[in-house]
Amino acid sequence: MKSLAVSIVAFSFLVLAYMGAWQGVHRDREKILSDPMMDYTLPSKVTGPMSLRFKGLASDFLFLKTTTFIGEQLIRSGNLEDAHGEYIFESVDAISDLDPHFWDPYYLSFMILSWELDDFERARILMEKAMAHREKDWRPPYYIGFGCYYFKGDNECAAEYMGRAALMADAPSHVVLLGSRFQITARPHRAALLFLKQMLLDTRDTITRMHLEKRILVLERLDLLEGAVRRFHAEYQRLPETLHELTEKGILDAIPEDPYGGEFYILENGRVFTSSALRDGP
Amino acid sequence: MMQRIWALALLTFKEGMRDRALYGIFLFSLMVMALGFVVVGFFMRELSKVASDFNLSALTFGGLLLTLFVNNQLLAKDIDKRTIYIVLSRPYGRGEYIVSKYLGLMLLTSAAIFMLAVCASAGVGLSYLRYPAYFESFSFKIFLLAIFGEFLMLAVLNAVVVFFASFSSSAFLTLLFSTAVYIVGETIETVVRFLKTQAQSTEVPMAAAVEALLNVCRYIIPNLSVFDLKVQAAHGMAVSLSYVLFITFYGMASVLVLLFLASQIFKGRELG
Amino acid sequence: MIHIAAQKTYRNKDLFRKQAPFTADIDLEFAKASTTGIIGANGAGKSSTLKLILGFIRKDQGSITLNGLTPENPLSRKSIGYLPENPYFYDHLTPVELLSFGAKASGMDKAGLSDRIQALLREVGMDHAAGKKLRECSKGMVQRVGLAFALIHDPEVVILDEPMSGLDPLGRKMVVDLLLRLKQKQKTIIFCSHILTDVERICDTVVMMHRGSIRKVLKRDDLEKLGKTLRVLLDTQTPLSENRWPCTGLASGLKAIDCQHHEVEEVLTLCRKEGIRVVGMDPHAGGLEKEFLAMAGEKP
Repeated sequence: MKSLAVSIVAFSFLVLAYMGAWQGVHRDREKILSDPMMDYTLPSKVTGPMSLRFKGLASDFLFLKTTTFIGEQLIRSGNLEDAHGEYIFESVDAISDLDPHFWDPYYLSFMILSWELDDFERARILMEKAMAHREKDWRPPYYIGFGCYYFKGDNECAAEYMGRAALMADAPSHVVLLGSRFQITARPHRAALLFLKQMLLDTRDTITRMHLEKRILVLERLDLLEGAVRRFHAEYQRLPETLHELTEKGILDAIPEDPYGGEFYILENGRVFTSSALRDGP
Repeated sequence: MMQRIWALALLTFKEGMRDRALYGIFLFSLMVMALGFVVVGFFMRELSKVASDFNLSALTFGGLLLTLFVNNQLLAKDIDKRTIYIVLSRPYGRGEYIVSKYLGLMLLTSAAIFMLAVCASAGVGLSYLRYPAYFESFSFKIFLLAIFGEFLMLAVLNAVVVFFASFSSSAFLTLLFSTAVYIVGETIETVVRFLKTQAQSTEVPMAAAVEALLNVCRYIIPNLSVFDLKVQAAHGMAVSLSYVLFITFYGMASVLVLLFLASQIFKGRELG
Repeated sequence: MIHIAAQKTYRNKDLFRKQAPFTADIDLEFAKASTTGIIGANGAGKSSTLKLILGFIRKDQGSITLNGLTPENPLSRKSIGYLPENPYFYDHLTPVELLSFGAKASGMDKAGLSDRIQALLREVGMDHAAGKKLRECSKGMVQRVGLAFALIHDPEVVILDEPMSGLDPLGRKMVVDLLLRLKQKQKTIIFCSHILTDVERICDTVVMMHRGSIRKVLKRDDLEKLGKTLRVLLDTQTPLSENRWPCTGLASGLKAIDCQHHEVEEVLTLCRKEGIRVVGMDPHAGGLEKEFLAMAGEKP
């Protein structure tokens, strides 16, 4: 009886000691954890072989770690710093080495780097990687194209990438249209026409076909007008002040109509545009 | 002869099935699959990839545990506890013994993989039911193909275990050597590619010794990463029929070479 | 017919202890339908002899043939049944499963197999536990199953290493009866045993081994002769004046003289002359045991 009582007392004492130690450890641990230490990203040359045949799983875990980290930072301080950008870039680079087809990390890094951290260059590098490995996916070139336009105002780049995106299977119809719109502001209409005519051949959807045909029509007319402007310039060593000069001088028989209902006019650099801005409606 | 070989294979299979370690491994894999179902919800869009990764990895890991620990023990126990005497006192050649044991181990592995495959499919199915919208790029056919790939890898690894057991005197040593071969077999491809690109980009040629060692490893140690189709399964990417046929032949050839070597070694072994 | 004339050198594989290598030299012939018992101290090389015949270990020099085939040829074991010393079996199997394997491994037909298994298990006294896993069986039960395993395929040669080990007296009787039955069926029997009385009773030939070599081979008539000694028990402190017969001190304080039957009268006369009291006589003088102890006590 006595030995049982002694055992119980001793055990209770041990349990109390354990609980006390637990409290102490975890209190100090909170301090360590709350310190915004940047996680070091193991280079993929190490994690690759280390994960043996579990590379997919490793990429999932590393991505989870990255998103958790970003989430914590956003909750804690509301915005991110440049150092976080470094981390995200390296992390996603390593993750995509493990599984180059994994879309989510590319997407996340692009959004955060471009929008939160204003670092489109870095975002673009990763998205180019995505494009190289996800050849049939319309999304990487789409995002790059959009980024070029929005963050850099580089319409040529936008047009090129948007065009590539539009060529992929399953590309949503608005990508097609965006592509051609960028074409107009960046390049001569001729190239855009070739592009759109090819699209028309590949498109079966009636509504999209209607849109495309209308666009082709306006481009042909714009192209026609710009050609006439060039001929005028060659003859008279100056640009016409209004488009009506073209018909007055007999270069063109008539000014064609804008299928979008606007009025064609000439710009200072000799390009021709329209008041409808290629959009339907008022 | 076939009756003999089949009798011993069946005996080995029965002995393995009744070992409780098998059920522990099974339970462990089930837990990982359940964990996968929970974890899938933490991710963004490519949920089919995460579900596939988790469930297939659990299957592979279960298979590895089975091969390196349970199957290894079955072989070592035979010699250690002298149960091999009751076999070799019958008209079994040493080579027949090796082949029969291997077949028995493969029967056991197949049964385990089948059970794990059912669970893995159920795991993915559960995630699909929960988040059907995110499973657009998933292909069950390729998922099954990846399971077949893992099975081929385990067939080769079992042959490696049999090979080392043919001359090793302890289960632990067999485990050590087999694990070493496994790790090299998995990583050799990556290492070679990395070193080659480094040699090219920095224009510093690889040290002759390193290159020689690498080539030795490449050709002798089976390249296990060729059987890994989990990436394809994760993204629903197609695998060509010719590739599948080639890796099947490669696996079978590796197994035959290893078993042949094991037989020759075992023929000279003293069982005093 | 089995013929073995071989040498094998055993080297100590220990890394740290150095022991001189030791060579065993064995020259034996086992005729068809003969029953041979091999006796010797622990480590004398009895089991090793059997293992050489079965091909578990290799000879260094010489030749071993079983009906013209070498142990390397698995067919040499087609009609051999073996019971190892301290047998272990696959723990999770039942006796029926084990015997079924044994039968299939030796190429037996499936027809009538289950009946044969049941009959054999009954013969060794294990039919009540036919479905029990071997890991739940006692040592004696496992030993009986092992015997059945060695006999399931009706082999021509039966090789048993310590068949009596782990058995109670009933079990030992079962084994002896079984061996005698096999002997009647003209089977060739080779077995090792420590139980010298059984060896004496059953065997045609007794091989005595010590330190790897054969010391003596006793045929039936030699055994008969050994059996003719008589032990005279004397109550005395002083030995007999004559040294012709070996005189041993027993634990009870008595002295014992072993002599041939025809010499008894002479001994009794001598005792009366010297005033030594004769307390009793023991016909089971343990002749073989005496030989054995003498051999084991000999300097190598």
